[in-house]
Amino acid sequence: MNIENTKAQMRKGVLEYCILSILRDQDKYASEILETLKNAKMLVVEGTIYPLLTRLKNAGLLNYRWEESTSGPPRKYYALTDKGKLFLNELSSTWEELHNAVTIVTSQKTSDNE
Amino acid sequence: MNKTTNINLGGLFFHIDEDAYIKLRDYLDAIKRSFTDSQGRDEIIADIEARIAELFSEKIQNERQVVGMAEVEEVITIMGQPEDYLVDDEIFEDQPNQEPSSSSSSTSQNQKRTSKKLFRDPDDKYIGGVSSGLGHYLGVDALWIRLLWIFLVVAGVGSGILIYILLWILVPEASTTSQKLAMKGEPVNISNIEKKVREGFDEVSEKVKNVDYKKMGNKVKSSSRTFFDFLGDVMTVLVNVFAKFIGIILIICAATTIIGLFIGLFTVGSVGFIEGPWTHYIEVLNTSGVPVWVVSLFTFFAVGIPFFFLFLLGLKILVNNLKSIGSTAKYVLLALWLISVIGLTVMGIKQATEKAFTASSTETRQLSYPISDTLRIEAESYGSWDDRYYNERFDIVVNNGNKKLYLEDIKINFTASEDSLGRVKIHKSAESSSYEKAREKAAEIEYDFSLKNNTLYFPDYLLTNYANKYREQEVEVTLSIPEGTVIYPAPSLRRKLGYRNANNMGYSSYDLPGHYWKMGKEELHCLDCEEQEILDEEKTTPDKDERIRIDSNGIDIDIKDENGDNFEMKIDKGGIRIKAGNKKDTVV
Repeated sequence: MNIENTKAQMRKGVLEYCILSILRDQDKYASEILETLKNAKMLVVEGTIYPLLTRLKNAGLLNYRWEESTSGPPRKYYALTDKGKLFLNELSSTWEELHNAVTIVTSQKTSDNE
Repeated sequence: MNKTTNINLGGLFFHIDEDAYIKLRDYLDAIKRSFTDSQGRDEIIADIEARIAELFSEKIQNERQVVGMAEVEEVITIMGQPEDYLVDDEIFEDQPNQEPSSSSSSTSQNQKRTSKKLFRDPDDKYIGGVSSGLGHYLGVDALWIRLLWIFLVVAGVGSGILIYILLWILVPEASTTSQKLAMKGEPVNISNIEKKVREGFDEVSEKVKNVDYKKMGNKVKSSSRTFFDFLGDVMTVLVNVFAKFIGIILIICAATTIIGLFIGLFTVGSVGFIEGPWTHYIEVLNTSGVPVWVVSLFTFFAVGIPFFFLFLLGLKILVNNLKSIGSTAKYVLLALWLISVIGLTVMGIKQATEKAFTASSTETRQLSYPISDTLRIEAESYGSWDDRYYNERFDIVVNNGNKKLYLEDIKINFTASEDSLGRVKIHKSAESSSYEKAREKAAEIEYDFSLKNNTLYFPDYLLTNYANKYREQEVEVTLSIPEGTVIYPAPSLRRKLGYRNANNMGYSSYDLPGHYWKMGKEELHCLDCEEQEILDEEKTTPDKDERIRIDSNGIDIDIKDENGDNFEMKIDKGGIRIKAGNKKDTVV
């Protein structure tokens, strides 16, 4: 069992949820999404996000539009679709449940140990 | 000092150091390969390139600045190693059930798109690894394929061996890791290759580079799909399906022909090794003396090689990564084909020249019999053979283990003798490649007649040694009899009489037997032919309006002129009756 692998997998598991959450209120382009994720230390390297964005787009949860940029080539602005919003709501409640469950389980363990 | 290159990255223009460029290119290639089989690869790559371009442009102050090794390495650190792009895939593919519906559907699509390729498996082989390779390709345990081979070899008279060898030659061996992955249908990506490497394969990196390198490079372009792209895809699919269909037909036709030829080669080629009634036939006709197996081998190559190339064509249409058989093999096959065709031509000419010369051998024997008596002539068929094989133009008979050719090309003619002696002339002829040889073969024809109780017996067949082969051997018998001799050709002669039998009745040779004939100065005179027979012939062409008949019943005349006037006259036992116009006279 590789601890790095486990850590990475834990992070990746919720990465989709995070990306969808970032786009909940505002359309953003890849670099902005990356910025947020990196600041929150959700991402170690940037490369990971691109396959994920494409996957979400192909699944119909995201769509994008091209927007001219002042400082370079046009940017892809990603936005949630209706399906994506439903999906995000579902994930949110699942996360709440998971968070609670994990909290209960881990605190139970510590109390047992005491 | 460093040489620089210009690149267009995500729509932006950069000067970049040559070494940095190579590093960046290799990095992007590695990423491209890691997405070989996943969905939306082109799009992902375009996004990544755009991001790298963005990072570069942040680091470069003005247009004249060059992107160096340091910038590239920095960008790679930010973006992550190719493996980092794959963690997602591993999660989704290893535990698809834990993922929401969106990713599981894309996973199944991934698996569908993972195209397997046909390779031979060098790690699991008994002979050439063909079976295990086919097993991987078809998703069947190699054991079943091996059993199928055994069945094919046993049931298909060895044709399975031929197919196996063909596949062995044509299907490439999976020698590199990426080929082994493609063989098993696993996507060729970095982590899978790493897994393989850990299992004990070395020197991967160099070979991995070859995988789909150019293809990927060409495919990286705009990710937007236009309607015409879609239309093009549909057309491509249709054309592909059609091509595969043709490929299958080609393979089936060519394979059947080759297998048929193969079986033929073994059966016909075994003439001389295996004895059978039908082998005689081929042996006897083969007068050129070239061994039959050589002829069949040449025929096999002359016909088989073009079909082999058709087979290859079909396979090429069906299997994309088919290994070429190599130009050496092609030239060898071409040479073999030419040799076979030339060989066949030469042998054909040789066989033909065996018929170039016809020669004969003649013997004349005097007959001693009482000329005054009627000479009866019979055809004699003798049929007590230990064994007899019937063929179209000749039979083969065996007596006391001696094989002989049995032919029925006998002609018997009657002529008038110039003196008072009866003679029988036996004229034997045969064909061969030279006059001397032909005469030799003619002399070896066994034919004799016998005279018993005023009856001449002519065999209706000739014999010659089996080794002489079929050379259109013929016997022509001429019976010369003195003028005045009476002969009776028995009906058994009917089919054996030659055309030159002049007779006063104008009979065809076929009609001569069954009557008594007396030899005149030049022709035979019938002694017991009924005149009726001649008249019957005339009757067969009667004139509707006119009739003049003179026969044993009397004379019968019936004429009609253009005005419709009749003239009838009849002379018979009842007297003479004449009827002209409306008048009628009868004289008794």
